[in-house]
Amino acid sequence: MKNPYFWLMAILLVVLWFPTLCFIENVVAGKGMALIKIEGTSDNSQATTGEKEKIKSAIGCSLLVGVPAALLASVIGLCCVYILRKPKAANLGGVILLIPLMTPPRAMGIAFASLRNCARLDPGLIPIIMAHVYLFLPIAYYLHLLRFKDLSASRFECAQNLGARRWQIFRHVVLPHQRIAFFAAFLMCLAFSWGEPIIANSLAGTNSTFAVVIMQMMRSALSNRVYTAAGMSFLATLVPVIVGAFILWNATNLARKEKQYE
Amino acid sequence: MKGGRTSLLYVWILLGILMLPVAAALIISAGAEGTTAQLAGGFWDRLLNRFSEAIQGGQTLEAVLTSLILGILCGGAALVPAALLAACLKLGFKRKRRAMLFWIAIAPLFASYHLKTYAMRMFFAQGGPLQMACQSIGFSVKPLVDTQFGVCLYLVLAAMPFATVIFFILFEGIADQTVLAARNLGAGELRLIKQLLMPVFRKALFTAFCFGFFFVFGDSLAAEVVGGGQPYVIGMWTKKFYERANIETGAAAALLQMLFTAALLMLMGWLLTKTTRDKEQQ
Repeated sequence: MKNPYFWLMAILLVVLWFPTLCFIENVVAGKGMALIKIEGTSDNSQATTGEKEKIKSAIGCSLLVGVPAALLASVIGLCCVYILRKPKAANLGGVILLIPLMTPPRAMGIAFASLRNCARLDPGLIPIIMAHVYLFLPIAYYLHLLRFKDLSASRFECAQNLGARRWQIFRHVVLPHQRIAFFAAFLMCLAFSWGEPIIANSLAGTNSTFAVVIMQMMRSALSNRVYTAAGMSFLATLVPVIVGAFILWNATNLARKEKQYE
Repeated sequence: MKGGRTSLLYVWILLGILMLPVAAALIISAGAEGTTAQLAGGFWDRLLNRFSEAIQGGQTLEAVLTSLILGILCGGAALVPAALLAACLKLGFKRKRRAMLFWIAIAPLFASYHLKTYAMRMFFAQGGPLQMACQSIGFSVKPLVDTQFGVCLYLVLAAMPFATVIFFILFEGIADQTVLAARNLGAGELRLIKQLLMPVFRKALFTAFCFGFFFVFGDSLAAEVVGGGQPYVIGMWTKKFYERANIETGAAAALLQMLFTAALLMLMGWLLTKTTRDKEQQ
């Protein structure tokens, strides 16, 4: 390799991917049980029918939470990008939207449990959806912003000169341009929602999400099948992330090429 | 002008919505439910009583100090590899490949954090991959599981992608033509780093540190899983009340943690603004 940066880059990437690679390696080798002992281990490799049902219902709950939460976060993120497009509002809004990212998750979970109590909602999926929308809104916002920056200001001016109203500009100029970012943000938020156990655990009643079930399984009894379930969950998270990242990367490259031609 | 004001109004509405959980924690922590004898009095009295109950609940100062030290140490240590990674991306690769590698580098951020933490426990464990690899090259290493060093190491790794994102975005602000022109004029790699990347690095340093710091400060899973309950951090302190099903004191503890985080965030924002202003005046 002639590129002097290649090996340094490769080493740093391996370091960043350590936990992920290690997890996959352990799941594939099926030896996780022997290495990790927190409270106790179990050698049962056969899942009971009750457990299978629990996992199936948890996967269903995760999808029931993840899909609407990701959709809502993506829609609200897009609206935020559009209404906060003026420089001053964009700067201030960008900082304010960091609040959910900066707040400690444990404290956030308790705050949402308090909100649920105040709103007199029953423990269940709706409070988790609300919390996930809140939590992943910044991610959707910044992904939309990444794409929105490629939209030239002249298009807005053209639309305004042609007499378009705000809603018409949003509908005919912004929405078609942001379609790709919308899909990418949806996928990324879905991945986050799928793997988020702390807030879901604070809010879930009898219907736990898959991440919560896996966390409980890992804390109580560790076995190869727990690791396999966790590994599958982990890989399921990576798929939408990779697809979303590829879509955004491709769109950004195309936008750059278009700009070059212009 | 009018449009600008409307946009700012939207910002305040957004802030109001984002503050809803905090307000709920405030209401619950000052709630009149509970068995404590101190509950007599108005809203503020009850709130203060809950706060003091949470603070006296045990090891508060230790938890705050440990979290602060961990945040400063690990958030700071993550800056070096993150800056190196971003510099490698900027100087070593063309735009298209760089963007792809960047996504590969930050993909672990999107993967489930609690699973990653368990994975790290396996990696550090007795007979785990780290120990086996060290043994194969002739070193004998004690397992890093249940040690504070292991927790720090993992937190540095976990905070690294946050700092990488900040450095990468700011390094992208340097035009590729500028790098190419500098190379054509005979600048070596060290000079490129020193004269092109370093000024941007200095600008980004504080922001990147803040991201890493707040992540480490609020985290408790690493200490629970990798450290086996050590060191005692602020997240564990908050969790303790909630696990006792004492929602009022739990909400007060969460509120205190959030207020402390907000105060730190504001202090850091003020420091950043002040430094930038001073430099502009100079």
